[in-house]
Amino acid sequence: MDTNKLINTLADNLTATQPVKPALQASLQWGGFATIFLAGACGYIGFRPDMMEVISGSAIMAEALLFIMIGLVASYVALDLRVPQSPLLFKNKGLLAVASLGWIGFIAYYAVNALYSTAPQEHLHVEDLLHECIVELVAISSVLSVYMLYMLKKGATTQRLASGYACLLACASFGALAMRFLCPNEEYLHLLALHFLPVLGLASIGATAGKLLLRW
Amino acid sequence: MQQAQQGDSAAYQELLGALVPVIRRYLARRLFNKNNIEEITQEILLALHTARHTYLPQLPFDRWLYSIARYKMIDALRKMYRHDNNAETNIEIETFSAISTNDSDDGFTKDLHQALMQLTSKQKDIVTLAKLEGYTAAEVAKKLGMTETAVKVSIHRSLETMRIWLIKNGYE
Repeated sequence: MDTNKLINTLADNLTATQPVKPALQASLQWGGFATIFLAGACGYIGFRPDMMEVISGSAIMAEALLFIMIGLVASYVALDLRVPQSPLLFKNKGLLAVASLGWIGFIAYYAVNALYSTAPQEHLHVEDLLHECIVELVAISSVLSVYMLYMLKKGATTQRLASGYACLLACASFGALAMRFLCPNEEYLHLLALHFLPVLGLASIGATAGKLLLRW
Repeated sequence: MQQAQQGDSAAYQELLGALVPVIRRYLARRLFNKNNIEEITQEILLALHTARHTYLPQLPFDRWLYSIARYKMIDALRKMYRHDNNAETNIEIETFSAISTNDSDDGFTKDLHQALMQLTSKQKDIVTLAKLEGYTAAEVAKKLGMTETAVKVSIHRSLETMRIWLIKNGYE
């Protein structure tokens, strides 16, 4: 087709459109959905028996706050990258690095404690890949990621790998937050292997899936 | 662009018309094969149309334009590369079937035989079995006591040697 003819056709078919929401607004919208969904999911599955002690304890609440912050930062990056004008370099790369380093630091802390802790630790086996903690974490993260994918598909992501990674990092961070309110096991090795490491695993899967699913 | 987002088709037509030379220049600086410029320009125009709701007036327009142009250029090149690879395979099949049936021009057939002479005797055996007699790589491997991977690698290198020889002798 001739380029001028194409321009005429596009101009003839033009309809008014609403610009996409800015990333911060979209991120808060997703965060609101995630909070409501997590409350519902935790209520349905059942909160851990010592939930009241957990809420009053500062350590777990600080962890929860960290997960929320990382989740919101990662969701902001994912949703910002759905606008082609958003630069990957500096701002978004920096934010994504901060979110990832937050998790890596957290995992390193638990790994050191799991190695040097004198408290008895349960042994983990290959079958634990299908442990109910991992299954629940993946299920919760998947629901959150479907909603975020819907939001991302409304935009035009040009950095699909980074956006996919950020999307699943955000969803898995909120998933890990839910798991802290569902699973009463406080052993370092259990938390490390079945709650926290899968978050980075899911984020890596998100990078690959993003390349395929965010094509437009 | 803001007017286009509100549905002003005259402003939109003017904008796209003004962007065409900008996109062509952008592609001309980046593409080796200039024949693809028009096709990719149209791909980019379609992408700009599809993604027009993602333009945010508070951010620079050129960043939006070039980001989409770059994305679609890479996408289009990837598609073309895949297509070219298939085309290369088809040419290869046609070339060798031409030798075996002797239907083609005598000069070209002679040159192909000359190209075949550039190979080592083992390479000649492999190419003859795989490309002229129609054996699979696995069957050739079994006949010559080699691994299937070694046969595939040898075929690839042999064809490359022949291709270079043909190019040096005036074929494109």
